[in-house]
Amino acid sequence: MRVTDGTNYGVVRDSINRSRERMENLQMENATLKKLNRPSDDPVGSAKVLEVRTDKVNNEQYQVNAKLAQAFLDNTDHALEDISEIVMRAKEIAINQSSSASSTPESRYGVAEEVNQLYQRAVTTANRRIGDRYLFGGYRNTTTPVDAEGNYHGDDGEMMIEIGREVFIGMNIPGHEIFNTHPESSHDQRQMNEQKQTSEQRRLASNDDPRSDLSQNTNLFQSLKSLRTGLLTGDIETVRASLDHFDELLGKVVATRSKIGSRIQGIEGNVSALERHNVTNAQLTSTIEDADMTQVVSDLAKEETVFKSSLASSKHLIQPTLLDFLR
Amino acid sequence: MSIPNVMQTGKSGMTTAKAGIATSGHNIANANTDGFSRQRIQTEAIVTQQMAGQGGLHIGEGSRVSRVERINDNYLEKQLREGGRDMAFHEEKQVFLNQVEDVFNEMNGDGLNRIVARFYNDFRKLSNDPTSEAIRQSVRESSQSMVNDFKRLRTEVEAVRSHIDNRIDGNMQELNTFAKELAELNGKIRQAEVQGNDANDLRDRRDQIVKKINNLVDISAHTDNNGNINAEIRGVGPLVTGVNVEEFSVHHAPAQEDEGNVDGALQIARSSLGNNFITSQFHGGKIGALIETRDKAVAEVLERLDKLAYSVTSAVNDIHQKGFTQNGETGLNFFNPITSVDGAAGNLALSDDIHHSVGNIAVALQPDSPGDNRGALAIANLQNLHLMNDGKTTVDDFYNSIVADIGVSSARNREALGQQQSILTQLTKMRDQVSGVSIDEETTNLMQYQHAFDASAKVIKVADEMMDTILKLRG
Repeated sequence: MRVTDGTNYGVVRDSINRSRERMENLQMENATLKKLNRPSDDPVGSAKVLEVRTDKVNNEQYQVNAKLAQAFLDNTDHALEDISEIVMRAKEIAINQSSSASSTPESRYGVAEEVNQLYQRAVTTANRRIGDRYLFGGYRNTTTPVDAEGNYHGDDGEMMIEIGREVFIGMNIPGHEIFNTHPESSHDQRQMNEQKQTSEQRRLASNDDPRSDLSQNTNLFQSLKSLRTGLLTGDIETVRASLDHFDELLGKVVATRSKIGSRIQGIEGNVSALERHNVTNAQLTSTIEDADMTQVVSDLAKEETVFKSSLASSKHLIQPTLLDFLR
Repeated sequence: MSIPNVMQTGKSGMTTAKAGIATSGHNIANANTDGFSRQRIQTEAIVTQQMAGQGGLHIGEGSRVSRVERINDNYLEKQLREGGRDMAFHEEKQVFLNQVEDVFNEMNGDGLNRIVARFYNDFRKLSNDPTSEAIRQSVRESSQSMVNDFKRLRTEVEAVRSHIDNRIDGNMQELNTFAKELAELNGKIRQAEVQGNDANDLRDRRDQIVKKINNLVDISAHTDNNGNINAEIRGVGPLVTGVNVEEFSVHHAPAQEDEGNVDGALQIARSSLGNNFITSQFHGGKIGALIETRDKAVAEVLERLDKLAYSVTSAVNDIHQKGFTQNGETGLNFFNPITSVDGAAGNLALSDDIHHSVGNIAVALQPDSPGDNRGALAIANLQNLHLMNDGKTTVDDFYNSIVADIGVSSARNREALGQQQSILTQLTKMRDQVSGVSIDEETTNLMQYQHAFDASAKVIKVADEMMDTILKLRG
């Protein structure tokens, strides 16, 4: 075989270039600690990394969402605790005053004032807020939901919040669901992404609904008011009738509080699921994009040896020609 | 046989040896010349006339150089040329695929993927607290940076495209120059060889030019009966026939419906035929790579980017229009409506209403409900909806697949480039084995001819002494 100077130099150039290129790539991995520095390094992996990254950002937001929802629900629960105390006290009063034995006009006037205080407290509690948002206003949460007369000005809006991919949870309990035993309508959360019916439409539609029989409805504020009126006028029958109302209301509050409890439990479960998910994701991205440093360092050392030996052999390959011996 | 004849014989030997030394010198001088084929002198013995009265003996009269041979393998040259063409193709493609890849590379930094995630999550934040002015501001900010990033991506990819156009322009000019050179060389070689000269070096140069043309575009080259190399661009037609050249010109052409090209892109036409564009018929080589990259890879990326921007805009607007602002207004757009998919990524912008006030972000689906967050939830939920590919892919997946596809074509091309490199190295080595100059070999030849030269001189000297001897006989 003819070996020419061109092939000689070509071989030298080629082997040095190749070795240098490999060293450069390894150096890059070494410097960034990543084996995935451009999409073309691993196209499928890089798409996966992007996907997981989005997942991570979303999870962080879901976790923040969950915390906010939990704070809101916790506050709602505290308010409901106060409401239940109010109702219990009112019930106590009603029991005491419903038998003519213990009820005298003087005692009734006395407790009527207390009932008035309870009423005021109930209104204040119903108007409790977190930040500048009222807990019980539904969607109308920037104005006081209950006025001094005990009328509800909020709506039945339930603020859904995303605490996991397409996992939604209501962060509030609309006031009328608590203050009334049989609210005129109930919120349907499945209508999330659709144009929700307006309250008007729902009111019309619910006329056929047996549940919406308003005669069954018991309102906290009305009950307190009528208890007070009963006490002031000495109408024992009204006082006695309010007992049932308070029982119903108490049942309602307890049911709502257990609803809140299960929601909070759901949130906590979800948060720990998110955390587990984050760990799995971190492991996954690490497998895809992180360089195996032991491998890189040992490859680099190996490559260095290759490079040095190719330089050394080049010395022998290039240097001597016949001319060197003819001098 | 006369003594002067012996001197002639010696002289012929010296001349031959001198030609050998000159040729070796030429080879050594061109040891590093690209495309040079080593040359050899071919010598032959001078045939003598039969001499009368010498018993019919033939006594040789020396040697002469019959021709200077160019040691070259045509088939290998062709393979090498085609290897070079494919190499140039992949090399040129790699340059621009790398550039596009760089535009979309967010492996170690920020990019549209993160920005879009931030956009959705700001809407999630807004759904937590729809009345917060601060969150509304941040929704507007992240939407603006999404708009900016769409624009950045489109502008940068467009920059790659116009860079490609510049290269096409430059390469077409080279093609015309080389074609002219080839035609000229055809003429010169023919002229030289008609006069009986070896046009070895001209042939080397011509091979080199054909190689350069082939690096630019896929051609078929063949030698005709007159020794001309005729080059034909595959799929287009003749480039050089004998001494005639077909010239090509480039034009910034308006968009053509059927070709699917963009306004102002560079198109190629035969100079003689004006605006009859034949761009898509060019394949292979640098020009083929440029056209393919521009009209396939780059065009596709832009198209997908536009589709993405368009879908996001219309999906967000659809929801936003149904919502009510803090002032109870409804039917407002979040983004400026975009009428056509074409160029959507560049035309993306927040609507004037949103620019004007963040209070115009419509989060509620019913009036007078500051706590109603369903609009924000619905927009955030777009992240999970299959808006792209006729309802098969989410926006995120669609974008990620753009990045992955660029990665795939870049990786595939890089691999092909590596293979082509090995093939070319191998072919170059093979060519060097045949046509390359070996200094050792030439040095040996030099010595060989030098000895022959010395010995031939000795022959003349001997003849001279013989002559002397004869002349002295008389004295």
